[in-house]
Amino acid sequence: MSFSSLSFLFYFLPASLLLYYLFSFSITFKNIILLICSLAFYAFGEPKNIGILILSILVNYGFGLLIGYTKNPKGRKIFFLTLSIIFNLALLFVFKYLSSAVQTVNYFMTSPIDVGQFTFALPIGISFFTFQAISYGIDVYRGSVGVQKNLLNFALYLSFFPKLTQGPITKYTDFEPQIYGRKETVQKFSSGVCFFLVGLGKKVLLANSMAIVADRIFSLQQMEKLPVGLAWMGAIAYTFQIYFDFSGYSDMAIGLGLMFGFQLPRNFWYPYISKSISEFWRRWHITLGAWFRDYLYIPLGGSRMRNQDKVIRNLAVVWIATGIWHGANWTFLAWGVLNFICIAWERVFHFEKMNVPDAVRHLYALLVIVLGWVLFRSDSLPKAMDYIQSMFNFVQNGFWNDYASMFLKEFWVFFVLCTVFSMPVVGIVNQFLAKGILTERRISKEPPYDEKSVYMEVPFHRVMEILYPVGMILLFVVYVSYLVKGSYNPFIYFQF
Amino acid sequence: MKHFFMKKTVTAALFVTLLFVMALLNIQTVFPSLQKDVSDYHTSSASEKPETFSNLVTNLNNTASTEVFGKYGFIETYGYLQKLMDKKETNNFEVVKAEDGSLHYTYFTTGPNDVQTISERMERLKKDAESVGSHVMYVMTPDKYIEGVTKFEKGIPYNYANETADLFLDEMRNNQVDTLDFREVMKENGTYTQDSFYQTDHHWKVQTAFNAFKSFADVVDEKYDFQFPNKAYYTDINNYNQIIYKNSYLGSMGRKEGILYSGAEDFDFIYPKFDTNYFFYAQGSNQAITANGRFEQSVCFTSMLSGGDIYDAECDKYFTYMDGNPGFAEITNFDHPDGKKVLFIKDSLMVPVASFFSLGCSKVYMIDPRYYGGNIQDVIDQYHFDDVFVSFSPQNLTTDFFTFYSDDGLQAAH
Repeated sequence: MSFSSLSFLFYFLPASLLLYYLFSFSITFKNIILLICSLAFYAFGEPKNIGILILSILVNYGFGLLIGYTKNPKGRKIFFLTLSIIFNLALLFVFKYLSSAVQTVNYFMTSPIDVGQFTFALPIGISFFTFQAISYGIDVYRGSVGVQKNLLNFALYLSFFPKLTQGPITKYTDFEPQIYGRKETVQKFSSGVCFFLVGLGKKVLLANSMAIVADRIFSLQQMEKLPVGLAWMGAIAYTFQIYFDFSGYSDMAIGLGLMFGFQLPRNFWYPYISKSISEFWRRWHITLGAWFRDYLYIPLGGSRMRNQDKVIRNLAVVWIATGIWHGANWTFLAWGVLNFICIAWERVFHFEKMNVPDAVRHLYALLVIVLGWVLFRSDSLPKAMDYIQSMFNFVQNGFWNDYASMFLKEFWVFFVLCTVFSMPVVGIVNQFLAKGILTERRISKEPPYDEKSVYMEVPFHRVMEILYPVGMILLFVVYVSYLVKGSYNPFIYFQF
Repeated sequence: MKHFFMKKTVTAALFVTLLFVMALLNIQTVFPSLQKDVSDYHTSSASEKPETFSNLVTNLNNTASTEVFGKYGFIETYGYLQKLMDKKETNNFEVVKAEDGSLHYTYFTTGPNDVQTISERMERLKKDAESVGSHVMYVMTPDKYIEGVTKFEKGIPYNYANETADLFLDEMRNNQVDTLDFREVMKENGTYTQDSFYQTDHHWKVQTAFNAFKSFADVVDEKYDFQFPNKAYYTDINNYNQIIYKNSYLGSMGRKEGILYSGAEDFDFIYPKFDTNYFFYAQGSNQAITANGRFEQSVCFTSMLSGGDIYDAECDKYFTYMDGNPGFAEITNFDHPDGKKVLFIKDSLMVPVASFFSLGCSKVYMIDPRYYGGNIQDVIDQYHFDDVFVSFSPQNLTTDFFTFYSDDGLQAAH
């Protein structure tokens, strides 16, 4: 089930909210309700694969107990941790990589193996819940968290529906205290609703509209030569699509979490305003980056090694793993390698400390990001190379054609909105409205030199207060109208 | 900061209220369909249950997504927004708006479709039908996109349907299949204009179809010595009643975008003033329909004209004639028992033409290959028709419509 589906909005969400708050007298009941809702959420989207999720819960719970309760010798603890990691990676391998591996093997075989026998439907969210399970095992092994004895609590951690299918990848250390210690408040709930509505808008209005442009232009590439302007338009449309699709989902997940009293980690922080690729990765899919940092990069030695070569090696391992995590396609690997190359040279030459104008930095980052998304979006490396060639081949392909004019004319509203909402404009306006206009700043002459600022209420503040809720609800009606029209399409990250 | 949360709290209160109200209204709307899905699951056998459960979940999801309270209000909202943005494409380029406001189905392509396979199938049909004594003619109905007349905004994709039709007709002539191209006939008459088609639908207007019937009767008379009875009388529009239903029609494309985007239009219903006597039999996918009496009581399903939901595809007024597209239909005209027996293998454009044409025949058979479960070759071999007319509009020149005389079909027949 998708958050941006009518069945979720008008059936699942009201039912789960109703049940949850009906049982608000008992935290245990509330957790049980959330667990049932989470399993139902998964079963409604993937009735055949609910068994995989339950198997993962049971096995990882068991390994958690074995790792946590084995005192001596340490080797046995490592043995169970290894088994747990092997189990999770094997699960991921079978469903995500096996068919591609068989295809690769077939390349060298005289009598090829039937790939169909090794192709299984990918359970939605497997990459996300598997990574969370691995992090739990490692954290228990390290002793940074206590073992979870209660199966229901562990099941809730792994299957909590707001983060189940697309993250944010939440560490057990962050989730566990909230299982019993969370508190629902009106403030939290209200913020949750607003987060959810913003996320829904990002997905339904912006990502889906950009998807039309990107999909059409990428498929036109198969039919005819793309002029440079059109090729760039397609690449930029996909750049917007993937951001608003994934960050929209994350906002909805965070919003839903807040409605049930949970605080999930932020996953995006305006990545397209970055001035380097290193900065981009501090703002893009933050929880995946954190996972690789904590459970791969740092264990490999991280950046603290004296030998710079080893730091580069560690970076290479992390970025190749990040690429492969997205799927068994050479394009993902190439995308990972591109990011590695950029981050490695930025580190070696201290790019972020160089005296380079911000505009140049920003252009460089955007260029790499957009080219990276072309690799990411393409079906194969040759197609990606063809596309990238179209983006620069002024001589043979020309610059513009009627399709380019038409896409711009038909979708300019969405291009403008995407550009504006890629920047922290809304946050700044919100802060401005909340604080007001600074009229006076006083700094006391005596230590500790306290600063006191006086703000004046923004004109039309009251009007804004009325307009905001009305506007949000009208926008919700617009979202629903797009959903009723069937302009729904699945989230990009569902395939991972 | 207090204000900051106040507006969010009000938003949350409004959202939750709306969510629960909509949930209740939707449950009420969807309940009968859900009940059916669930009872289907209960009545399935134990061995089918796991598969049926999966289907049940899919059905529940689909039903919940399609049967929404106030659905058409939301569609109108969507359509109005598209209009505000002056959008010419909607539904991911499925439908585009021409400069004159007419809606068109389209898709991205670089040239006409390949017609080799369907031409071969048509050639096989011709040989087989002629071997049992039937004349065969391919009747090309017009595409709504008129070259030199219809204007799309720069860059709006064109599907090359007319060019595909030209290629196909060339192939037909090469294979000695008789053809009639209504595009040419209408050009000669000066009626190949946008006004001959509904703005919100891909079909021609009933008035246009009536004119086509006149030309068609002339052509078959001339070509096959059809001896269409009372032709001058039957083809005179003055001998027909015409009822215009003002602003009551939304075609298939209009229904997707709503009235605010497309605009509702008039629908004209034409039926004979003179006495007629028919028996109509149609076999749809689920049930058979029979009717007898005058033309407007048997060949026409006038219940579609009396109100109904303008957005409901089941109440599409164009389908007043012969109930739309049943897989198989048999029309018996008791006024001309010695008339010709003809078969139309067709899509929806030919339906009103065939309805009027039945006035001069003893029997008219209609097959829509998309919904017909039997073997068309068997029908041609067994019924010994005087004439077999195959008619698909330019956009339908695909193997989905030319299901007959395929290699698989021939093997099945033998």
